[in-house]
Amino acid sequence: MFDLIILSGGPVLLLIWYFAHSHLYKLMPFHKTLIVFILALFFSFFAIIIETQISKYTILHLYSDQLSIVAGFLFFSVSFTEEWIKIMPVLIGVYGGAYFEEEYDGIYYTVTAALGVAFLENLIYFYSDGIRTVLPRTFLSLPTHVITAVYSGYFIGLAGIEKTIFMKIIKIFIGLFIAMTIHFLYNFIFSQEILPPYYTAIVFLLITGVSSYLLIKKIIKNSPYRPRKELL
Amino acid sequence: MKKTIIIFIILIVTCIYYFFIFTLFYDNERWAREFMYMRDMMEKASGGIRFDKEESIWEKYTRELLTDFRNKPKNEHGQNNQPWWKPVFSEREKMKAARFIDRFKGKGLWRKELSKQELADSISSFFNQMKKQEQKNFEKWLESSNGEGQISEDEALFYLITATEARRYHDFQLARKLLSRALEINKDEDLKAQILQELGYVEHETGNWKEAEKYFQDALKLKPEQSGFYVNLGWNYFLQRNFQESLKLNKIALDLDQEKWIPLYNVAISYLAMGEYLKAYEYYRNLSNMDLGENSYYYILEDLFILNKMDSRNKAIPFFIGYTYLCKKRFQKADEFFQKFLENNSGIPNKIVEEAKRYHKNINQ
Repeated sequence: MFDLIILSGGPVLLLIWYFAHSHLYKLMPFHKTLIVFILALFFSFFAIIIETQISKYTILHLYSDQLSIVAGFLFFSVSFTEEWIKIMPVLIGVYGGAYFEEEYDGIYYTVTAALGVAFLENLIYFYSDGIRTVLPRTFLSLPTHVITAVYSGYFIGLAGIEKTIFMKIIKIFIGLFIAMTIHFLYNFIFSQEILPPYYTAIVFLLITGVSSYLLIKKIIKNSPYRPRKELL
Repeated sequence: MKKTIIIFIILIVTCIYYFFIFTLFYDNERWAREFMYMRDMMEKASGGIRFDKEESIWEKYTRELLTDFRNKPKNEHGQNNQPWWKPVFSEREKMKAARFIDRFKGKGLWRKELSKQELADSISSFFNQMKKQEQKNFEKWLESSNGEGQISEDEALFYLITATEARRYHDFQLARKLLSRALEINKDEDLKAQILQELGYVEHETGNWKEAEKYFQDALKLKPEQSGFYVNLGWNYFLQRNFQESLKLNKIALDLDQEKWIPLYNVAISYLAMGEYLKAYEYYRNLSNMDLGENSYYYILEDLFILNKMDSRNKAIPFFIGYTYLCKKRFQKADEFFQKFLENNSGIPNKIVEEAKRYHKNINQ
């Protein structure tokens, strides 16, 4: 049990702490973080159900000989559902409220939701497949969830600034689509047989990770909470 | 307010999205595949123990039919007429089977000594749960296919094979329905014999032995050269305590096919039931010289236990059970039954008693 908590919960807590403290000029409220995290756990169950049912009742599934069916399952089922359950806790829990003020808020809460999803996913994998699956997942899948959440969260943040409902929804869906694509590409690396999956996944994560890091840096730099020189 | 509208719109879009996913990609052939992989699971999960006594005969027919079916030429569109056969043996099914076995492991049902009955019950209950949902779809499909399209041998074959699966999972009502439909549309004599056989199985397994007898006889009339049909009818007579008839039919089957062990074994057990112990022992010994495969001894044991229930006064049965365990090299179990036999063996020929003593002595040495 202790191993389980350390392996599944440790990296999650560490990453939440990191993102909460990345914004140098603003404190992230603990209670909102907790709400989003719990909502993410709740939505994860929905993802499990929907993905199982798609695999069961449609021709899309993971164990097909045809790559197109696998790709279809990864994109339409896995990527959409998992990205959708990351944005929903943010929209329900914090979006439009007093604590949702800038793009970074979108990123922070979506990452928190993503970590909630990843935490539950790791727990399930731990019980079903054991530590051998959880260990590589901690180093590869967890960052993927975070990276995709950075993009969808950024667009939720942008949606917060938009004036019209139409544009808000468009921004949210653009973010969702980008996150879905990244999620799909990462998953697809493990289904294709041309490139070595682990090395390719690491390279892919490095590229997307660095770009999302730069995006966060840029957002923090432009944060309204950042003290301006002229004010000093 | 804006927030609520946004969430509401996103939820609506999501619902429409999933509706399209389920509609566009819905797997119409799933039901048929589920049957096939469940059968494989049962065999895998049981560690190779098969569930039908007659499977070695019946399974052969089914597999032959299936092979013919799969090798049939494609239609003008370059497609197989029944594309669902192909994925039956695909990797996905294997994976599903593996996952199913894991479920058993998780439930603590995975034990070496797991009895056939326990396993069959567990799988049956799981299967029933799963099937309830799909039953409706299948019924719809069945109705929609009525009177439509080309009625072909393939379709009758489909009903036959699906009925076999339904019977294996104890859905006798469905099996009867499918077989009646198969009989209606079939025009091929060979296939008709097999459909009648299957109907015989269904009635046999539900305890309607007279009905089963009728079907087996009808099948035999159509294909009198089929040794397996004699065996089935013979076993039906055996369970009706008509051992003479069982013996007669199994001997015909044996004449038709010398290499099969089941008629030989049925002759032995018929002699045993009739009280002709020396002849029974002689056939059993012949049987032990044959290569029966790993699981055949389970069938033999099962039938000996059935006979023991049918006729508990037959004092030779423990000897034959012991002998079967001995052939299986389970010495402790064998000795247990030899001892039981030696304690009470009045009226049994001396040769058999002496053999029991010899085995008992050898085991304890």
